[in-house]
Amino acid sequence: MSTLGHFALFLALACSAWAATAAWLSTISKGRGLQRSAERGVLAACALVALAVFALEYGFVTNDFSLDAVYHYSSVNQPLPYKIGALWGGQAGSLLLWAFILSCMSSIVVLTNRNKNRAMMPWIVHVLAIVMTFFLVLNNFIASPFETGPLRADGVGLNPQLKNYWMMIHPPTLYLGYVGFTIPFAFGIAALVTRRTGDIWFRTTRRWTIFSWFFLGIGILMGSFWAYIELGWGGYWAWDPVENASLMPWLTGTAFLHSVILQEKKGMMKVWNMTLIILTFCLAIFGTFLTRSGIISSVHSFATSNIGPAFAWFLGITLFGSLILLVLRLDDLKSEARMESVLSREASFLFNNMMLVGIAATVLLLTTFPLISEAATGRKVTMGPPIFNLVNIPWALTLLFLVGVGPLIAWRKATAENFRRNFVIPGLVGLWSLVLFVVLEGQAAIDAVSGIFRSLVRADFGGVFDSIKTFYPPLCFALAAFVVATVVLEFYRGVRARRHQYGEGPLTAFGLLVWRNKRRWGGYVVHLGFVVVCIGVAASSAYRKETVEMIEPKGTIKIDGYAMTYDGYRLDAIDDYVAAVTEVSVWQDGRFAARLEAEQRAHPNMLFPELREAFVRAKTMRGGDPGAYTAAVQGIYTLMARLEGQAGREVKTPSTEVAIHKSFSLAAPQRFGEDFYVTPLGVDPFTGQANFRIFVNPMVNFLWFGGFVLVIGATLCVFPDARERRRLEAAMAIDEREAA
Amino acid sequence: MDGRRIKFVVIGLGIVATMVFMLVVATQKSDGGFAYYVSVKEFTEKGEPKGRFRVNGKVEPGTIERMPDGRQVKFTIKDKDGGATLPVDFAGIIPDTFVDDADVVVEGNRRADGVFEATTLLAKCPSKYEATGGAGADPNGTN
Repeated sequence: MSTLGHFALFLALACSAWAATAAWLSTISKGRGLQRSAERGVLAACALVALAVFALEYGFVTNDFSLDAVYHYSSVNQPLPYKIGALWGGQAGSLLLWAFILSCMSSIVVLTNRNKNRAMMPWIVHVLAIVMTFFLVLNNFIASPFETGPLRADGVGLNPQLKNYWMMIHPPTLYLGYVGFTIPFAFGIAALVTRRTGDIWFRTTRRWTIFSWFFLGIGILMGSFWAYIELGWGGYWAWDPVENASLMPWLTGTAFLHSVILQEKKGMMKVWNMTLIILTFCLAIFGTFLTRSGIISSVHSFATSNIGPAFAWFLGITLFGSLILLVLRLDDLKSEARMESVLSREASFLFNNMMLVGIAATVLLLTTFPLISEAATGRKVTMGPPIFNLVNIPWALTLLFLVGVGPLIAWRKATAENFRRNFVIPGLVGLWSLVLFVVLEGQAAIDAVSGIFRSLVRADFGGVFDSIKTFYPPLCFALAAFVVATVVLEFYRGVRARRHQYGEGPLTAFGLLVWRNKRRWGGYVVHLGFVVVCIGVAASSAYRKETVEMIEPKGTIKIDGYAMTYDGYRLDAIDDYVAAVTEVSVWQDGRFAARLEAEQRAHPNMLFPELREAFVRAKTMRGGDPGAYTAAVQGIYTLMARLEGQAGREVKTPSTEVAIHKSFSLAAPQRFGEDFYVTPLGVDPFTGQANFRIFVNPMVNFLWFGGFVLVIGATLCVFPDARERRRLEAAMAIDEREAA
Repeated sequence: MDGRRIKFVVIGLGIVATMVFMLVVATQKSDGGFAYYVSVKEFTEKGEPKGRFRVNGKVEPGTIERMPDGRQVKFTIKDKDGGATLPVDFAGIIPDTFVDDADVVVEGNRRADGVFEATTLLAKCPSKYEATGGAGADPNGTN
């Protein structure tokens, strides 16, 4: 199978290199033969990469531990879904997945555009094939997933923290996003080369763009969710380089999605849009690179290796090549209109773009600062989360404000009438929420204001930001209320207009309203989802409570109206780990809420024969005499402790299974969406004495719920739309006429 | 340049200037997460510089001394290339992955008594089991 895989990957490389060459040659020669051949090359490469993926998966499923990839990321005892998912547990497999997704997407582009966009297609295929060739070169010569070693009976197994349902689907989701941006990028470059910088390139790829943006966003949320339920520190975002790597292309992609509307409606921002799509693609490549190269040390970068230089060259050439091409074509990208007023939709889009790109630039600077400072001064300087938070939260709040303003402010120049009509009610709703906070939390508000002035007097700007923090959550809620009010008002007016015009019932009117213009109304739903996410982030980070206490069984820990009793514990040996399972009861405000189980696990290193033997013996005793079984598992713990003292290498990999009680009861509205989150930090297998870390995270579930709303909105946006198709066809007809 | 354009330029420059200003403020704050990233060797050789440090090294096996409350630990880290060592005191949440020989990053600075007082402790377990014994080798070398 490994020979087959090697062979398939090599042939795939040949096909895709041919596709790149033939597509380029076809722009010089006459006839369509070469272009046809290039397109077939793309399809063949796709089939061959699929074959390689199949060969590797076959190795995983059949426990072929002579393959290095299988040996490192799988083991006999690994459950089947994790064997399949282990494909993207390692670097070579991840790069193969990248190449696979790209080849599939390229094939779809080739198949759907065969008889369209004839002038641009050779260049589109050329760009796609070059990117594909790059990844296949990596897969063939630098990080081959089919490296073999000696015959081995069992593998090391996937890092236990990655054995999580969300971690299985998170990387492919993220990759769909990363890879997807290649398509609009390829169209953009083709448009530049062929000087067809009209509407076609972005209209044709609009759904690709939304699709990629959507998967990137959902992938980021899934990654946060995984961190939240798996890493046991009660949070979901730490400004880790790997997280930042996925956030940056999402930010520039968001900017692109918005500013391209200005090009579509007004013929403005053409250079800016090209720049954004180039940046987004480069950041997607950079993101893959950061995650995979370990160039910036990160707690959860699961890979380190030698692909760095290749990536750096590819990235550098792509970025500078594209920007030079852009500069050569500046004459074709003249704006057809100009900004008329600071108070206009055009301006609000411009400002939202500045902030999104500004945040992306800040994140890029702070993330790569260790590299920059080392190159400049020879000293590595790292930037921690407080810096990211201080700089980014105010801009995120400003963006939230623009989410409310952008869709409703008038084009060209907002009039007083436009303001009265659209913003008076939402503005009052937002203001009222803010006043409510000041009334409820009067003392905190007064302290914060006086803190700001005291710091200002001392010219201590850091202190000013410390004091302003108090206002972030209420400001966020007020802005959220403002945005929700604008959207509700829009829906209400839209429905009312349809009811008057066509005499439809409210539900029919609502459904048809959305269906007839999916992009607009889907966009509103996406905005609502974003608002809900913001609420979740603001509340859960500002009002979170935390405690750590060590207790014996039957002991109790109290925190923020909760009481948790430690009922007892049991030991277990399952799959490939031993676990100390703690059983706790939770009371919320005096009412019994739930019984939870939180585990601390240890995955013994099966390469120690005696450890393996003890583990297998304990497993066979499972379900038998409980006393003997517990003693057998305790024996494993004793053995691991003894080996740790003498082995000089890793004896076990620890992991934790947190327990979470979610409150959705309307009986306690102040706790709606709240999590009671328990992590056992250390459990003594003999006495049961345990160290519990407990978090109360208010409204944290809004974050995940907001993600769900985003899914609905984005799905609406990518649905085929008759209106969109007509516009694209019209643009193509104009283009054909001009060409003829 | 007409008035309208000037307005846009002023607002745009204002946004950029504010961002830069906030970056400067954030990095100047003493608790702001700005830290020098050094190895144990660099830290011990370069004297007693001011500021916060993130020192990376390996946990010297056998030096981990956990306090009974489970939230304090004393240990020694050594340079990855050998040589320098640094005693560390840490109070806080001790990660699961903190074991002998683990790669760690401690953040803080040295106290007057020469012990490094860490406020955060990141640990990454040696990711490959076979790191010392060679792929698939018997760890005890008995067969």
